[in-house]
Amino acid sequence: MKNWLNGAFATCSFELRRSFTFQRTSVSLLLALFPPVMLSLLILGTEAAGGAQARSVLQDFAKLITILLVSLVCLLSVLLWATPNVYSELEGKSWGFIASRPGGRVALFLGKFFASFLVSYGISILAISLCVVLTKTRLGIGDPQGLWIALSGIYFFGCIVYAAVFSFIGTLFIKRAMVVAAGYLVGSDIFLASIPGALVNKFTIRYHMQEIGIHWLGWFLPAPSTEHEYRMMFGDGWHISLHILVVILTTIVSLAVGAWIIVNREYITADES
Amino acid sequence: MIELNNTTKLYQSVIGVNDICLKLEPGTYGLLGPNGSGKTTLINLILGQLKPTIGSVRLFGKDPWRKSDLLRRVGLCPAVEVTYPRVSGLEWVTYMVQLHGYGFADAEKRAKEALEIVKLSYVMNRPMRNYSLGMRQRTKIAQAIAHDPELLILDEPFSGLDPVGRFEMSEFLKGWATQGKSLILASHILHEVEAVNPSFLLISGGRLLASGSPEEVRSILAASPYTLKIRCSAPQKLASLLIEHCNIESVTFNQDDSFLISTKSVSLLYSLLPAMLAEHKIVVSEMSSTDDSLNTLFSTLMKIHRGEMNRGVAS
Repeated sequence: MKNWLNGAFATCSFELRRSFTFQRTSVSLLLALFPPVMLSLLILGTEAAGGAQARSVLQDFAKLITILLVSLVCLLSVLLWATPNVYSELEGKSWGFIASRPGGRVALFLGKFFASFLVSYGISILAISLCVVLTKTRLGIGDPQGLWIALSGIYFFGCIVYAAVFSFIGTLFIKRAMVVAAGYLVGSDIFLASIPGALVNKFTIRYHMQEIGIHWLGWFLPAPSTEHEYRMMFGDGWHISLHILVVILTTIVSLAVGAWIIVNREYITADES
Repeated sequence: MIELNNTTKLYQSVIGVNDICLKLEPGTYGLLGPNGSGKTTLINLILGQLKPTIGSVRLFGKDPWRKSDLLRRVGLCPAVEVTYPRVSGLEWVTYMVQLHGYGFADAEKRAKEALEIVKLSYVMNRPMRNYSLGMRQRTKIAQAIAHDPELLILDEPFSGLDPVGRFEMSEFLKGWATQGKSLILASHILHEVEAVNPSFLLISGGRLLASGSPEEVRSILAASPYTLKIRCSAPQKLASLLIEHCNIESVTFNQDDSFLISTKSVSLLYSLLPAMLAEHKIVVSEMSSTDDSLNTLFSTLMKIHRGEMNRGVAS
């Protein structure tokens, strides 16, 4: 156990160091800057329109817009980093070197999971920080520290659970893992999670992340009555600790099943095929 | 050390290795076979990277598919290229040693020692994109030996090396063998493997055709017809002299003063030829072998396998 845990940290450290290139850093920065830039454009557009009413609407929706934009870049980052965990090694022909180490496969799987989590969370935190500064300075939304802490907590769990699920998908589907992961996102977390009154949406990650968000941020849509309508459609949430428990269990199960697959599956390199 | 019992590996309907029975005690082995013959598949079966479809594999007495801890005792240098252009040799080898369970400081120390052994200390901090092919090959060797394994497995280690690199690699491998450690050297070029003087495992089409000492392999080669192309001032005269003295199987004359001659007694031909040329004042302008020794060897082995020739070696 010690061997693959050491190996996982070594893999994570190696992955982060070798990714510290101009190209990859630029992509990460672009991802992190996308939410604040979009928010700035919205603010500038509203200010240019000059309407106090438009500004008021933007203030009401600022939290929701921030959440949507940061979620987009967070998911994209996890998708790019976690999903090709096995494929990139097979394609890069480094699989043979790593797999011929004791516990090397699990070390690779967990190490890449840690790296994808750290990078995606880092990108999310930078995006959140800039968005919170913007909402405070340009829109005058109060309690920026509280907002920052709540969003940081939400994205901590978001990054960790999606990194685990996408890492698991990466061990199962080799060549089209990203397509499958994107399909999973659309099918499960957009389609299934949006079906009102259905039990099935409680099996989606989005449902639990949404409930954690409501607990920590409060109801973030402008009209309080919409919360009542939301509860009518999706039911009352559980205690927050249960939602967090579901997220943690999903992470652990995804990692355990992914590790089992990577150890017990024959991955054929291009040379052999 | 290694035991394969009726081991077959199928990639769906394609046979990777076919019904191999093999028992290897610690020592030096040359795994010889043409490209696509199943060498890499056999290595991956031995290392537990692949699961046999039929039969079983034992490495140090245990099933390598189930016991990945066994890999601590093995160093592998695969045939594939290292593809981390921005990473230095030291960083990469350190990471590879860390995967064996060493902490960073220990791993870095071992990586430095291994890079010293393969004479790469002076470039170990440079990114690997600046390395020559020979340097990258030596870096691969360093990652395979840094954790001090009992068994070193090298897949095509001479690939892409220049003559100096080949010589250095041979010297390194001879040194490794004299330390009493085991070595399996997979290659498709006979004379490169011969330099390390191993016992041979000859594989083709996924089958282990023969195994034996270097002498036994040479005896197969000696029993195989060997074709030479000779261009000289009097081809008919020289050919008739060779037919008279050298157990010639066939002669084919070309239109350009050259001829092809096939013999099973190539050593005899080589020993008699200088005297013949001197005595009859024949000038040879070109003499070359048209045979690749490994092709000859495998063609002979296939004939033995099909019963077209008598068995010359233990198999």
